[in-house]
Amino acid sequence: MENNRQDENLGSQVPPQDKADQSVPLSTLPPHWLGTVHSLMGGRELVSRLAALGFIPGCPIEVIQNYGVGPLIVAIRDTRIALGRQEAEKVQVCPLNGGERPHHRRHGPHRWGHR
Amino acid sequence: MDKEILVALAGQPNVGKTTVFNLLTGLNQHVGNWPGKTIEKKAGTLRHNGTVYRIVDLPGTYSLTANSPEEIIARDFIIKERPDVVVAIIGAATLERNLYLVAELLPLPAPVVIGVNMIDVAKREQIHIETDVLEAAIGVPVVPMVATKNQGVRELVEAVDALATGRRDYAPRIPQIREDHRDVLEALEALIRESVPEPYPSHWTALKLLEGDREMTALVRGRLPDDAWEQVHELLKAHEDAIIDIAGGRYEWIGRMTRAALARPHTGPVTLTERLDRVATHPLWGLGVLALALLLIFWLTYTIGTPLQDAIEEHLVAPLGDRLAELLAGQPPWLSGLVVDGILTGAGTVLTFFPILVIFFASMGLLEDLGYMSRAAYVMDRFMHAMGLHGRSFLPLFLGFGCNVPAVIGTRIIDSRRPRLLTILLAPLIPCTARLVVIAFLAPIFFGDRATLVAGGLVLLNLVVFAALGVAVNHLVFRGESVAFIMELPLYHVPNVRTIALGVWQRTAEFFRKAGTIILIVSVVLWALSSFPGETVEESVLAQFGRWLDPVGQLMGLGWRAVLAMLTSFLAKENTIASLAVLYGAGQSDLAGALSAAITPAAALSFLVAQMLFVPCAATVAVIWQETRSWSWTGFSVGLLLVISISAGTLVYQTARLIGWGV
Repeated sequence: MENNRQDENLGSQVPPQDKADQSVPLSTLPPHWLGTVHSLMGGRELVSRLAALGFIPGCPIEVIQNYGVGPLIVAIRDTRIALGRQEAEKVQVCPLNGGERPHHRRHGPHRWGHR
Repeated sequence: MDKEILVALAGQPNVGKTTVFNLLTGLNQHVGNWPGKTIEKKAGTLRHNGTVYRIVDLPGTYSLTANSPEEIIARDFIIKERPDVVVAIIGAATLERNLYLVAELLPLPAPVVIGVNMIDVAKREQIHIETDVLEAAIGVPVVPMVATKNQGVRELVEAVDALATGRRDYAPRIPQIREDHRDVLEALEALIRESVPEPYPSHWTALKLLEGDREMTALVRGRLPDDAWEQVHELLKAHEDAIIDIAGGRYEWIGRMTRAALARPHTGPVTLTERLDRVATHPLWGLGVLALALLLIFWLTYTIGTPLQDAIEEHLVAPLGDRLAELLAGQPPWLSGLVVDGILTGAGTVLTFFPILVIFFASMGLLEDLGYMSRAAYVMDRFMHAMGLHGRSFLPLFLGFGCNVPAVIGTRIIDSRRPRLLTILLAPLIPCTARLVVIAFLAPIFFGDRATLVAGGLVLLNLVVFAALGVAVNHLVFRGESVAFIMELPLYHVPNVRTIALGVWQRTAEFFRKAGTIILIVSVVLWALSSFPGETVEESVLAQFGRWLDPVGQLMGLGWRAVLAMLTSFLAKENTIASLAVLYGAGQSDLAGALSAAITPAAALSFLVAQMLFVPCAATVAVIWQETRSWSWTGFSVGLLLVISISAGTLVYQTARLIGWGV
């Protein structure tokens, strides 16, 4: 279950340095991309709102829709969330197992917790 | 005497809280505003087994940190009003995220009961929750519910009662801050303990300071001596990152609480929501779906709403007017005038809004309850962003083509204040049906063959002014600060008829009560101004006012009669035509001849332009006030449109004169 993994990740406050180097803005990622939240940038209010929604370092996240312009859709903690591009630029994420889902099903995204 | 229990209903958005509230209170509810706020407050009562439950529906919020007025309202109610029980509604399919609010509620000084709603939806997603295990873990009563099927409500009330009367122990496992910040929190609390105002708990206040809560920080700062504040400030500065740590701690707590209670499939099925979203949120198909939804709403409006409006006018208002005139025949003429032309006209105007309001509110309620509204906002956001508007601004604005009144009321779906105010400001620039009727009638009279071109141009002009004003206000007044776009896309679900019907009833009733009164008053005042003193309109106070405005009229090339006709459109836009007929001494049939003889094409164009941009009708102004609760914003809105309208009319006429067209 997802929680177990989450807790382990959260145990270490800041992800290891080598991982931190790989972190990229959420807005740059293509659809079906899997990873974990690395850190939140931006103002206190934005960080507070995102954190309440579950954008916590170590939490798994999947990009559902991203057309390169305009807002994007991500799935985090069983919820689909639409994010403005500016907001998505402030979320740094790390790829999980290389990022792209290994057995990418043809019809769209699926739930967390299967690996 | 009956015993009374005060219950606060809390929950994140999209958990079916409104449905639960409606089930508990039925029609025994009162809708108003939170004191000094534009946010809706719903309260109601439930009588059960000799107990009166006063239930207050708190605004739906994701957390209780001061990021929005809603969050401050919710936490202040619990801290200051001390409800006997807080009922937290959470959605079974989004259990963990919804529990975040519970993690924030537990440290507050009121016992909590958790209602896990939409168990059926979770089952469909193959998510299983053992509520008794969750109850044992958190140490508070947990009640499984399917509010749309009326399941679990009785048990919820029973749990509330047991907790409020002390028949049940309350020993919650309150989430604690992570190890690394425990010392800081204690140090902070020690520093501020003496200065935290009643009734805020000092531990909770210290936690909020550490979270960077603006409101609590300001409150504490105002009461702390400078040297103590200096120390507090140093501590806070050294731990600016604490917010993520605290939120992370809450999610860890949630993980521990749900570990044994929650069972989920390893690979989820492709859900209905995923399949629907592939179309509904697609940049192209999404627009198509939205267009279809809007088309349907307008089709309903024009096939059911408009005929009903006409029927009300023809079979109710008109015969009633005749009957009243007959009855008052022996009385002084002013009495009959007051009753028929003043009061009845106003009441009739209010009444004719009824069909269109019901259709619009029902459609919007349906789309919202279905879960579609967020998708519509998502596909429109990129277009609305440049004007400082929210994706959610689009739907109410578009409905403005039907009528500006439901457009202004419909802005309630926009959850942040600034885009909502801006949407309300811009809504009257959307040409409503009534204004289009005036244009459709007058354009052929003045411009013959080119009427379609002129009418199209006028609509376009309104939209250009709309966009320009949006961009300008966004930059000048709001300084271009963009509001963060973060929006949950809830699971689609079968709409609940009861929830929608109650919403329609509440909004419509509020319109009749609040805006209806204002419209009635405006109607009587306009009647009085146009009837006294003297026999005809030409001698009235209103006409004198019109003549006094003559210099302004001259700028636009208009005589006082045309200016007066525009003024009377304040009650209802279609009044323009009737007023022109009266003032130019013609019946509506030979109005064409009289008008084209009296008004030059240049003046006519300036008249139509000014008419299209003129101040909104009394009903719209009334709902602007009803929704913003601010006379100054309402006044600003009306004044701004007046200036725009006169300037545009002047510009058109003076330009025409310069180039020597149609003078």
